Amino acid sequence: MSNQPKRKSEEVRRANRTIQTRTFVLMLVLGVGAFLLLFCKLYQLQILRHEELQELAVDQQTRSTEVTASRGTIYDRNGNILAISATAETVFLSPKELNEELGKAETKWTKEGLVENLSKILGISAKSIEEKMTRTDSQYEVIKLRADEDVANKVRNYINKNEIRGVYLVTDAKRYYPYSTLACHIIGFVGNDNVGLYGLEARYEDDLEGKTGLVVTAKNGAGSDMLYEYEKYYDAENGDDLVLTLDSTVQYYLEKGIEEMADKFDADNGATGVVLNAKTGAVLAMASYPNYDLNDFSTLQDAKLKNAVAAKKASLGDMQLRQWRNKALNDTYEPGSTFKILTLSAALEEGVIDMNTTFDCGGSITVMGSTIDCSATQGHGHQSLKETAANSCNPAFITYGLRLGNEKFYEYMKNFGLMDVSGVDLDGEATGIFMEPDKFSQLDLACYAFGQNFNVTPIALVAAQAACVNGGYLHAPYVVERVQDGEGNVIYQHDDTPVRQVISEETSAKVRECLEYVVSDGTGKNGQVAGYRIGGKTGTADKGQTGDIVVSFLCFAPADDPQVIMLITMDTPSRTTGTYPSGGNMVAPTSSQVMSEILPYLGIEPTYSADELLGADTTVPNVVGMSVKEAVARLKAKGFEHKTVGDGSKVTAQTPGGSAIIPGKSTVILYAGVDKPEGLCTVPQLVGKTPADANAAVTDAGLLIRFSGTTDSESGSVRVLSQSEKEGNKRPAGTVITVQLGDTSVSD
Amino acid sequence: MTRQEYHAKKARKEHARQVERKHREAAKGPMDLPFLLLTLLLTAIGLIMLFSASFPFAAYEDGDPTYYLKRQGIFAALGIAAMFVVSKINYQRWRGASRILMYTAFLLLILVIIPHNPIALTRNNATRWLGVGGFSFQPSEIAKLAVIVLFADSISKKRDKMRTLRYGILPYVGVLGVLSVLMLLEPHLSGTILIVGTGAVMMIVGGIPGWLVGTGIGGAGVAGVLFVKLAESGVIEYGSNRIAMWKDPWIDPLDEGFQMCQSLIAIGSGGLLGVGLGKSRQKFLYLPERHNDFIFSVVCEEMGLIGACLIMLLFALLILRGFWIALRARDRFGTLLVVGVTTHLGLQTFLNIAVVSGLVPATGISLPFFSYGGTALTLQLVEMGIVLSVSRQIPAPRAG
Repeated sequence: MSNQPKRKSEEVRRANRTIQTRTFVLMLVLGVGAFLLLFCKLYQLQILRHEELQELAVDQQTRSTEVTASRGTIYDRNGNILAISATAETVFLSPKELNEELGKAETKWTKEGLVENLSKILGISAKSIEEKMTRTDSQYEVIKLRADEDVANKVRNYINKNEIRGVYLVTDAKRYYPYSTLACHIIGFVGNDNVGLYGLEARYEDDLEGKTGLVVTAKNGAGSDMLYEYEKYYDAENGDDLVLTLDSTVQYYLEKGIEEMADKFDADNGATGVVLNAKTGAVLAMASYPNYDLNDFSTLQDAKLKNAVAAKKASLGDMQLRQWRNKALNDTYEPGSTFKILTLSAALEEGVIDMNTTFDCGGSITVMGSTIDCSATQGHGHQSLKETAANSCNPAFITYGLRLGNEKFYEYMKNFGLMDVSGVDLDGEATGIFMEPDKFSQLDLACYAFGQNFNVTPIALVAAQAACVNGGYLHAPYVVERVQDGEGNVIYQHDDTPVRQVISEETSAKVRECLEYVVSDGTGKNGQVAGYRIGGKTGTADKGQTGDIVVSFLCFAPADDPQVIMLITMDTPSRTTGTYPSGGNMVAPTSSQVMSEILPYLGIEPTYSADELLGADTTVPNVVGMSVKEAVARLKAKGFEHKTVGDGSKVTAQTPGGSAIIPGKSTVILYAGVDKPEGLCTVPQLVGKTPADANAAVTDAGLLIRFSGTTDSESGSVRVLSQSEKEGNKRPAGTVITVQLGDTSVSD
Repeated sequence: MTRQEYHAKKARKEHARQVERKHREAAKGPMDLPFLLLTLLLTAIGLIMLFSASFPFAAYEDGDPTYYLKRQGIFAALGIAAMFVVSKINYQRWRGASRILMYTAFLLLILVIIPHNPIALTRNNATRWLGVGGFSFQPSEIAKLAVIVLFADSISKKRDKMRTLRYGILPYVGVLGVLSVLMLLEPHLSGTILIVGTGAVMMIVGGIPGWLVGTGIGGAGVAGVLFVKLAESGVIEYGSNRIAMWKDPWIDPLDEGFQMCQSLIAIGSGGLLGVGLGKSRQKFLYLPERHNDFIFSVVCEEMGLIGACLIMLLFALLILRGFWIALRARDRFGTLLVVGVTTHLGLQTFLNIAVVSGLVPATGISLPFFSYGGTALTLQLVEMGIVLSVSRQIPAPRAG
């Protein structure tokens, strides 16, 4: 009896101990362990994977609508718009809906009517619309990409009036190029997605495109808006505007010039020209021919290219690439004699020649056993330094180069930036092609010295040539002066610090003197512009051994303080135009014409010599009512010639009328008692005539003449190269016909 | 009746009266204040979160954002009242009710699975509810309570016999087995896991042999891993989907994995500090069961890791305090009763949060005090009342 409770209590104690121990373990497991485990899991989700999961949350919880940004505008340096974006609307069909609508009884329109009307409004073929309407599974068939707004409005009115469901318009942006072809190679164009593909449009895509805006709305799991409003706006940021260094007027004159030149000489491979601000490297104009219409960039413009495709000699794609090519920087060429400017500069700078250096040319020179001919096979004889430049004497320049030595010469080519891209802010610039320095032999040096056997781009060459004449400063050419936002705040401004000084101011002055002499008395005389001191250098380069040539002319003005520098090249002109194929004969006249147009426009004051002053434009005095004698005296005082018709004593009429501005030395017709004839005068044929014959022919026709180009009228070989009005045109009496004079005998 | 007998009877009566008085005296001790406060705090926070999680759906569906809050609030009030009443009852009285409770539970569970029973309700392909009019409840909730009370009563009487197969193991395994079969027929896997888990823990604490505990836990672990591996490799068809979605819900984010993905997005987007109370976006028809099983995902989204941890801390403290009471209970019955209730609470809390965070494969377990469900909340509070009633009888520490 006494044993039992004791045993019992023992048992109870043990049972209790077990319960206590196990409960305690359980307490730790469920009260601590479990929650530590959960904490780790939540930490992983809420801290480590927070961003990933939040992104998923935002993705599904929000609905965002894009707001298109307007692409930036491209201006020339005077604020003229070269490229601008405008609203346009894309018209698309939902054939599926249209089909369903057609099946409904209440539909008032017919399929035929819809097709006919849309084709009429949009100017597209009915067939293409019909074809798209047959795709009845589709809900999106574009029938007109980026229709102009007035067209879009017509479509809208039509579908609203007829209650058509299934034809839709979406707002889009369209790029317009107001000047069509002007500066097409520089501006470039955008693709269907409004992303730049070529030129500045591609190069400055990041600046121009702007930032697409967003409207973010919260939505619930069922796809409708959330109970409480949650909307966030990310404003679309319009693209920034580009302000170019380009001047559309200068560009226009340059394009006109090279186009006429390339057509006249039937250039096989087009032509290109670059006009730089000689002191900063700013590109005032850069043209390439053939060109194209930016608003319709895939259509071939040039007859040559079109014919090649039509004759199946070339694919459309290849020819498109060709018309989009900016020859001034995408292509390299052997520069020929215009390169002599660099040889001259380096030799003068290094002191291996000076202004008193003379050279005797015997017609050829032998280097490393190879004989190199001069352009004048009989030799130029004894020449001063200036004359070697004026004659473009190859043996002389080979000698200058050899005096410099291989290393120095190579170093100068590097310093002039020819071994690298010029750095112009346009895409696709090619790099010059040169011999490796360790393989650069004496013979190579001899050829390099007059600009053969290596390739450069026109843009890199003209930048180097600018350095030769502007005091020695090499500038990277540039097209974009500044980038600014819509309010005009400047975001980027070009810094025109020179890359380096290659030659000294003194050397540069000597180079200018030589080059002015080339134009006033040498192969560059066709590049003269009345009233301006022009420096320049001609170039005629062989394209390998093919017999084809590249002709070019480099000029700058004013010669004593260059403001603008221009290089024009023409690739593979025809040899059968009757003009001796050389830069001096083919390109210099065009250069002269372009310079005579852009120099006054750019505000560079002409300085006429006494002789030129007489030929300069003068205001005609009003002499009607005066006695003939008195009138003649007045005209003479102003330097005009006169011709009197009728035998009255008083002037009853005059041509041109008083206060007209006409070239000096022109003939004013006085009518004394005779009526001024009504009607128009016929422009005579002038090309090929001497200046005197041309003057007589124009005056006889009752018109006035203005001479342009070389003023060296004493040379017997000066002829009219072109005339501003075509033969046979009818013009009022007193109209001024401008003729370009040129010396047809020059050879480079 | 002899005089002696009479005296003996009188003495027994007197003794019984004394015991009764002593019991009454003992049951008049103070309630455990920390446990009470934690319970009330969690109930209050649970109601706030339920409102936050449910108002968008309530507004869309019923036009009354407070629909769920009102209903849950009524049950919370009822539950708190019940908790206080239960806490006043001497828990020894549960001994008598244990068998009745268990029979009732059996009866109700059978009622649920009788085919075409008009009062059995089927939701989401599972018949777990009995309902009349607007009122419905899960018989499994009664079964849980019944198991806790029955096991506590029975185990507390067995002492060393718990070490035997015949008295300590088989009867309990038998009860749990029958209950499991009935509930799996509904089917109600999560409820079965909770009941079996709670029952098994009570057996362990009650003193079944140590080697059996080891083998049991080890065996369950091996079985679990084996099941996952087999389901993954496709040998077992049942649950293979669930396992695959647990491993990576993103392989089917729009259908099978939808709920899990939405829950992970909600939790993850909360980050450290959360999007702010009431500002969950996932509750706007994205996250399914946002006011039921997945309410904790909304908590995580709105309050962040810090808020979630604070709430988990409250749960942890409540559970720790529960076991603290169990360790100090006046007798084994009290200890086991509180162990059962607290284990049930702990298991359910852990499994719910583990499911919504993807720690364990998905199964429908609600979060105590938070998830919408009137009977569940009321019964939860009744269970808390039982713990409180045990706490009143904790002997005061002896001086010296």
